[in-house]
Amino acid sequence: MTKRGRRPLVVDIGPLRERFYTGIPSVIAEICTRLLAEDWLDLYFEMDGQWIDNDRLRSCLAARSGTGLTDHPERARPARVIRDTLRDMGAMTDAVCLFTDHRPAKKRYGREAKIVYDLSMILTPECHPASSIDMYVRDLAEQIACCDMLFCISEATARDLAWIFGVDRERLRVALLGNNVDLTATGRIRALLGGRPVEPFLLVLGSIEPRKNVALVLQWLAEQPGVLAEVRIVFAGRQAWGPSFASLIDAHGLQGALRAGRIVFSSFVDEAFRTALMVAATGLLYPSVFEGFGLPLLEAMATGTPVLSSVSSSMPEVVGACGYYFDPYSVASLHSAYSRLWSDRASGALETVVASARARAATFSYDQTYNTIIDGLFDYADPH
Amino acid sequence: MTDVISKVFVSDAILQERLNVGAVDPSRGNVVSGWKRLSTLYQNSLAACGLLVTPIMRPEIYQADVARQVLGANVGDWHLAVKPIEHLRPFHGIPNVFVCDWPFAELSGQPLGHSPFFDQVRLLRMADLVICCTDFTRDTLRTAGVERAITLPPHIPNAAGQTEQREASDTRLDQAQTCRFLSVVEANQMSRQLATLLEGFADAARCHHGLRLMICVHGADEATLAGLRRHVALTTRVETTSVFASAGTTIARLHASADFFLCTNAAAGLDLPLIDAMLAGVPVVTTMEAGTASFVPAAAVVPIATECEKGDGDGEAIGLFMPLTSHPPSIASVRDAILAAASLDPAARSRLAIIGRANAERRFGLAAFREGLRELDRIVSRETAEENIR
Repeated sequence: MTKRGRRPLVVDIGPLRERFYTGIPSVIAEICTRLLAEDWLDLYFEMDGQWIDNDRLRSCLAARSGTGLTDHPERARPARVIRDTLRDMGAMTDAVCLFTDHRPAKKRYGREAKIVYDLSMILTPECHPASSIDMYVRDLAEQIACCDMLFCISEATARDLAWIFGVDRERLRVALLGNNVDLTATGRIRALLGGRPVEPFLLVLGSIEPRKNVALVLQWLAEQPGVLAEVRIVFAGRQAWGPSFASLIDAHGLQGALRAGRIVFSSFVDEAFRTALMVAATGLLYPSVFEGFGLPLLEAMATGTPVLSSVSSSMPEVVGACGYYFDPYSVASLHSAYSRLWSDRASGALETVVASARARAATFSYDQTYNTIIDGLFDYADPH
Repeated sequence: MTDVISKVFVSDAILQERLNVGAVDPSRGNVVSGWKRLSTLYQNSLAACGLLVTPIMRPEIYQADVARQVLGANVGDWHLAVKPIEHLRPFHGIPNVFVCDWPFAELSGQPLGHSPFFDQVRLLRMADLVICCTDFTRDTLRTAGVERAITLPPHIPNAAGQTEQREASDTRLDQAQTCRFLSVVEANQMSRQLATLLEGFADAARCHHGLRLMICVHGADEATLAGLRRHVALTTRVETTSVFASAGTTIARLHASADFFLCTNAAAGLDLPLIDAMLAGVPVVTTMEAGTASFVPAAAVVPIATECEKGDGDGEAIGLFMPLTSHPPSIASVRDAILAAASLDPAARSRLAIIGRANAERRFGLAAFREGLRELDRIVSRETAEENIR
């Protein structure tokens, strides 16, 4: 306990440095928002070697952007002052630390934990630049070894950790991510559409990089050109690394479909446009080779958009029995999933699938994610 | 048996290489043609026993029940991984059988070089069963604490018609008073594999008239072959050496014209070119260590003496982090073995060939594989039943 009688908790908030809070930064924002509402915790936030004061963090969470965290670094106190402060209070052994990003390979606090998103760098190295793999893997075994607790965002990640690093199940907690889709925003988009028919399109959401596997979709369209007569395919995501979208289009001979607008590449889209695409889409097509969770799938389910999902890694944990699955290495499997979706759309069976998906999405909650993490951090059944 | 085991999902270095891992991966396995051939042999062996073989690229990504449904995996199916140890991955939810052809007495029991996949013992213990290509590897694993290990090499077929060709060439060679040695090397390892061999052969050729050496290279392009030819000419300084690329019928033709197969491996598991030679009726001159010693009878070879050496395991990735014992021959021992072979009369050569071929046919025949598969089936079925009870 600190002098104020509260439990000291240090949180590394590295992912919150991002300009836009989507994906992992959004997850950490949800956790930090809940932490800041606790009166029994003595909170210290750390990012890139700096002590981030709580009010500054609150501003960034409200703005859903980390721009304010990286402004004026000269005004911030170094993170070592957190440890000096805790040491002066004699609270280092009581202190708990949560790492949400890369962590040091040696232990500093009484109890330490880390959130592990996925082990894609290790299991699908062909999907990542070699330099990123080197950086991620360099001391990962040591990082894992010095954690008292590891929070995995899916059972698949927990299983991978146990298999690859031999981590005991007692040190693993699965904290599934939550559903924070703003249904008022989706409602506004629906109102704008006003029930007018939208030409059917499948939305492929995600950055252009090998792990997201857009090449499978393009291969499918090249082999099954009739699909493009039924639906447009809209790719929304920034060009990350690996072959460019244009080169993939060329490689699959789909320049004509791109020119004709049957294939659309919108590059990065902001949150409002993204929501609009999600609401209007005939389906979300998510061909990823590997995910730690699969947030876009959950968003689509919550929005009422049917999902065509890769059956790899964690994705079935999100989608359950409420989607159309395919093998991310098989064009035939993707075509079969698409055909089932199209058939259910014609028969009306799709309505039932969408309703059950919406119900399932509602069971995912960041309160659950947060409670799992707090319970694991303090090894309590009830931290309050 | 097939009412229990109906389908085998096979993951291997060939499929992995298609994912472009081979270009950046420092480990030797997934770019070595030996692993590719080993996988093909296991797949063909399983198919010959009536099992349905289904290649799978990345088994580890299919974790949920629905993933297994999408892939058509049912109760009784299992996964066979034919890869170097550090590339082994599981197919969750069905029994995992890993093939191991490790040629050293040492196994790592901890992560090395930041790689969890270099903890070989832990990885191998994750398997429901490890099938070893040789008794040597099986014994090494059991000594290291990997109890669920059996020996089950694949069925290695003999190419038809080679026996007749061999008999014809034996007569011809005896009359011509020449002695042809054949050696097979991997393109990406040939500098190591050939260093001692070439010097030893050159020494022998200086002592004995009429010696010829044929080198067959796997996986070499024309530029590599040209470079090797220059290197061979400089090293041996005798015009009695020929270099060939292994393609199509080349190896069968070389077997037919060879008097001896020459193998100077410092460490070997299941040496497929050596077995091919034995099955083709070519007497062998070889080192007799590690895996080789466990499937080649002493009566079938002209042995090459070796020394014991701790090193990097002839380029093994894990050898950068822990010493591995190998058994390289010296130049003098290679020379002596070549000279001893060349001095054998035709009847003695023929005896070596007959013993070697009979042993190889028995050990690597389909009947032996089928019998081993029954044992595998018993173990995997038992493990699955126990897992279901747990």
